[in-house]
Amino acid sequence: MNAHLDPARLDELQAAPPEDPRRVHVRGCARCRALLRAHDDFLGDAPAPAGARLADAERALGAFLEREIANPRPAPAPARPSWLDRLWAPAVRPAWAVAVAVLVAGGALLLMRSGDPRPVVLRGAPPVAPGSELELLAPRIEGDAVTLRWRAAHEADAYVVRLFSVGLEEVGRVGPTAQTSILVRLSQAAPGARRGEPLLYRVVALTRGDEIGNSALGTIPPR
Amino acid sequence: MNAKERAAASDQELVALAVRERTSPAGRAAASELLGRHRGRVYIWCHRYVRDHERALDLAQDVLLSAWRSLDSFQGRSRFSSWLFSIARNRCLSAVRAPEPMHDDDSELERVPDRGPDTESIVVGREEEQALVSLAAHHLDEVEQEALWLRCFERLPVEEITRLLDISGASGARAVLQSARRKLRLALDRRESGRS
Repeated sequence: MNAHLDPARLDELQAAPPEDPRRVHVRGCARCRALLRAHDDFLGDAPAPAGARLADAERALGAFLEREIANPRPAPAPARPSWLDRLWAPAVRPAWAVAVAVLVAGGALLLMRSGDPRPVVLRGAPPVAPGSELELLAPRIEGDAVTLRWRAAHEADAYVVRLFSVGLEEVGRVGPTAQTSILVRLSQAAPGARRGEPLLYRVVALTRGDEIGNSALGTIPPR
Repeated sequence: MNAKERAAASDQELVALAVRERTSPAGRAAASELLGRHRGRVYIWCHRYVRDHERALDLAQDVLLSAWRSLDSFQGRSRFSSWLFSIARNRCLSAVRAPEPMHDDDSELERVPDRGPDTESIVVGREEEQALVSLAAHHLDEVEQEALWLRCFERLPVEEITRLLDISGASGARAVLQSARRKLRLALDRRESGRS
């Protein structure tokens, strides 16, 4: 046998008898012995080389696998229409027509009964505009650990924080949390973020999983 | 399969589940568990080549993602870790092969043929490679031969070869490689002069 060993099937050699052609080949082929040695080193428990940061790497790779494989990001949801658009959506227009008609009729009734002391009660309430923007509080930064804080949003039952690069590419996501603050370890939450650049973040308020509000973009200074 | 069962499952069982239910949350969780088990060794291996934490991390991500994407092609004839080794090895060789040359004093070793991109150079390279293998087998001792191939074909840094071959001495594998180079050059010169 003259062919060199297949790097993907080197462990078959372990079970092969000494007279197996592959074993015979390895005895005379320094190249395959070198390959076999490299393979055994990969599978063995050799110490990490100088300069390697194994614990950091394991954390970052764990987060990477979680994000890319176990829980890949869902396709981006279509942009939510603004509250003005929603108020004037085709499905809502008949309701507006009815409301205007009721107001006009009510006004006319008031004019006709201007001497009548009884108040006029209109059934139902006008559409409520969404609450004001979620307010961010200054983050607390201690090295890699950053505590992001914000004021509670009305009716929110959870919050998610989205992390962005300065190029506005989403680099991580933390939460959901029911609290109004969250401790973020940047090396884990955004392992793909470039060092030396600020990170941006946005807090998203949720009710039963539905997005009901957003904060403005906040900034985390460069590490 | 819940998290506890995944942790207790063998590599082969996780591969089977990950391939069978590739797009389901259970299949993805199995793949994540499987690759997570080997992430440390992949990172260490990558670090041996590039000797830089950030580059090794990038390379390890690349290896793990590549393994995940080609999991269907794993036929189960070898251990999963051996299959992963072949992916890590290929990626690392590509990473150190291009675009910059290797930085050490063994410039002569760079003349040992490598598999090039075009067919002609592959054929020529194989002939030369065979001739060199034959010369090395006749003129170099076992450690010199192995050091040479670890450097030329596995592209490992000299420090790693020193460790792998357990070479003692201040200059480690460098001295062995220089000796191998001298002997090989002499043998090549003799061969050339014999031809002419």
